Amino acid sequence: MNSMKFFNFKFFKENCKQAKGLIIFFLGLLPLITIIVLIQQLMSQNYVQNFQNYGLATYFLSFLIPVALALALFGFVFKKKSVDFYLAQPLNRKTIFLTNYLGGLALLLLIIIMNTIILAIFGAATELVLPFKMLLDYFVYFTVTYFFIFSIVTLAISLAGNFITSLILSILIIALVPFLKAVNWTYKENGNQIRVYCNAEICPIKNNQDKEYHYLYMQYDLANYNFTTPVALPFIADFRVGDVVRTIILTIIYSLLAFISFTRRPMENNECSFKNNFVYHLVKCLTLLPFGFLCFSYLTMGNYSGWLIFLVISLIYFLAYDLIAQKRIKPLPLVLFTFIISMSLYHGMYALWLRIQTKDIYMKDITSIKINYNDLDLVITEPDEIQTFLGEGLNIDGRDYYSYKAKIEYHKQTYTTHLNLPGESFLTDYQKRHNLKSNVETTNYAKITDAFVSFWGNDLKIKVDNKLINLLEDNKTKAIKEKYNFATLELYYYENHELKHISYNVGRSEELANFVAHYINQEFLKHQKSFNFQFINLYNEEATDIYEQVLEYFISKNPADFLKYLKDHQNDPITDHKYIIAIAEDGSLKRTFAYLVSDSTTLENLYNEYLEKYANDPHVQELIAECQENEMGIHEY
Amino acid sequence: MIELKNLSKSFTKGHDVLAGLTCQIPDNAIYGLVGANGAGKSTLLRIINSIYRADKGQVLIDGVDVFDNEELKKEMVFVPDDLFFFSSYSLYQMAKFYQALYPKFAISFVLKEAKTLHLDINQNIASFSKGMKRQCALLCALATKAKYLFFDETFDGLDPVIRKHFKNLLVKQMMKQDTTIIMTSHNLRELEDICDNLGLLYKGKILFEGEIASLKTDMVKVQISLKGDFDEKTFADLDVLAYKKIGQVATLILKDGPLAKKKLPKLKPIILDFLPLTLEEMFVYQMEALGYEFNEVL
Repeated sequence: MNSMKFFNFKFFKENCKQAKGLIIFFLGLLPLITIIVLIQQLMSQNYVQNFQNYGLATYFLSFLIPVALALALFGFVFKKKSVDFYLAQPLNRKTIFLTNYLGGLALLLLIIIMNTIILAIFGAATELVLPFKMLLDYFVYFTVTYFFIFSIVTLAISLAGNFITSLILSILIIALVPFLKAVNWTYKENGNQIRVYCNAEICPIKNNQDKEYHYLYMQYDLANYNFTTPVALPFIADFRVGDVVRTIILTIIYSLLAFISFTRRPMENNECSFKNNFVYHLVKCLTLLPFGFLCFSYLTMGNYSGWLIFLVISLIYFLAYDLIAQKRIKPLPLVLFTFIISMSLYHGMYALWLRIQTKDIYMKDITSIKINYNDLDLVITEPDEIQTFLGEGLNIDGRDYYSYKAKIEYHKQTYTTHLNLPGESFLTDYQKRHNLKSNVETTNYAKITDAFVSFWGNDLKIKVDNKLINLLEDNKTKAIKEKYNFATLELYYYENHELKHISYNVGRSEELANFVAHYINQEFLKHQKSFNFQFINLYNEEATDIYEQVLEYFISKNPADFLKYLKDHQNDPITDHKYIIAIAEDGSLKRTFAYLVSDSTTLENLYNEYLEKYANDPHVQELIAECQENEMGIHEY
Repeated sequence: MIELKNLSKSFTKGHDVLAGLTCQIPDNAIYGLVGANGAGKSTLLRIINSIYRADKGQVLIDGVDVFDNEELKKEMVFVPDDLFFFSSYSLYQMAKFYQALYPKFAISFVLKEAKTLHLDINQNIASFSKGMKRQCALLCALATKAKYLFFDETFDGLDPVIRKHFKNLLVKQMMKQDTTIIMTSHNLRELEDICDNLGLLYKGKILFEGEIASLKTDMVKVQISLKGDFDEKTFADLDVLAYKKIGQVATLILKDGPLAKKKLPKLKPIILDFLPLTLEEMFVYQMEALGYEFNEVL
């Protein structure tokens, strides 16, 4: 089959040429914003939990770029003279649609690929945690999202007669589907109102006798909109394969509908909203949905004046819609009638929705509770423990409490919710009571992709090699020895579309501690050569101020001498707990680096050497006198 | 040959723009479509060019349905009344666009004619005057070398000199390339000197059509005066479209000119003048004969 039959490259090339300003703008805009976001990220912390945060710009532009591109490629249908021009070309409608549609998808793909490459370059060149799997998720997630929005807008353009109506219709299609989906089957997946009834004998209510149930999570309303993950708020959305597949299916359906609508479109339907009056009124009434929701929420709160105000605002919007789309309000009785009917219907619908999405769960029928807590994935299955957990949650009034994301299994269905529990110790006690193993002990370290040494407020990226993995694996069950407890390793791997984090104390093994200390010192010495590197201070947990102040004075007098000392002792094995830190700052990067003196005796010797050498130095004498005045005393070595 | 079979189109319920229009347009001819504003001329051209879909009926070219037929559309070009150009495009860029889609497009023709017409090919078309924009559109359309050219309000905005130049170009193209041109206008005089055939569109139908040459030969206007009394019945054996008598002089519009020229001298008239008819007059009399008030139709 001749490819020209459905895709005319020359036509697409010419179309791109005439929209080149827009295309170049977006091709440049997204990477530029991404680079700014990444640099900001780099200056604050080296990782984020979800790829969505790295792609924040990509996310927000996912509404703008596909919409603008769809309008650039298909917007000609809104003007009579451009319709004449395009449709008169030696191309059939099928070719025009497929060329513009597939070409648009190709451009979107190009934008996402460019952005993914930028992320990959940043991941490789900087200390940002960007595992390959995360990049892959980013690519899939945003490609699906962009294609989804683009298909919806294309469908809306194919159906509507002008720009504004097509945008309204796009929003309706985006917003209505998750709404319908939420009502039908996904209310169980997220939050909402889940009331757990508790038998008063099993679980006596301590503080409030009237309270017979507990709202596990009081999130009301718009949370439902996060079910179409790709178009949900980036902070809520997780990468859920099911949602991605659903979105792909919806994209295919919308694109097919768009194809049919476009090829059958009455091309005289332009410079007006909808050719068909019924469709016009239907779409207008559907746009009242969010207004209906807001009115209803005021009603449920008992705020009748608020309800009335919003009702008037809704009516003004309804009339303004006609003025914008049709330049007139006609016929007024019909407009008022449709407004009253729509608002009544939406109030009824929301009341029903509220009823449907309120799920009563009886505590006795809960079979398990899963809570992700620090390094532990707690799974509570014993009925007594379940009752204790939920019972504690019922009596948190007046006490400090934490909210944990939890999954509740009830009648073989899992409900994701939030569980309020008193204090952190509640879970720690549970862990001890049940002798639960932490994630540090159960993790397979071969999965680790990124590792950082967390030492004195600074995260140094460390190469993940076999040696490190073996050290981690071999020592994961060992107890922490205080002697070597000077740093933690922050380890990352990407699993189930989420960045997993484990804090591994180096004090579990002497070999690991020495390995890490050696690495820290090497990094310090490596950076001392860099531009604008300067010492800030010394620190020893046990040393006195006079010791530190005098030593700092000696170092400032002869820094080269001190650096020689550090270089000579960088590989010293850790011998005692009295470590000394030299902290220095790299002015160009605004980062600090620390040096671990593994054997404090050598530094003490150096100190004494200096003290002897500069005994007659008036400043040293002054420092000593000042400290003695403050009753600090001179540290004797 | 272009065949329009029973074409119907309505935009609002109860108001047919085209109502069962049937007509045949011969090849290698310039067909003028006239009609009042809103008669359906532009709609008809849009249906032929697959821009609009007819509610009923078919458009056939050499027996093949035109609608969305890519191969046939390569041989068709349409210049609408309201012109469209890509924003910030020059004539050269527009020509390149057409070149990408029309296999026989001759960019050299555009360059040559632009020079003749003093059009700057690199200047943004948006900065051109209305007439210059029309020239650009016509040049691009002619350069496609398409077999079927469709022009809506062809010469709108062109000055008489440029108008004449384009008329020459159209005729040349038709002679050279075996082209069929269909053009619309609400001005009969504009089409008179270029069209071979004319069709009058009224209330969604072709009310009247024919070859201009035969119309002009057949139909005659005669001023005649006979000895003694005479009336319309005197000319009963001639096909009289219109008859008017003032005093002893009668003015007749006769459908069969050659027959009139043979028979009228036999009546030994005192005065006998065969006067030329303008196309507009011919249509007026035809309409009147059909029972229409010409002013209502055009």
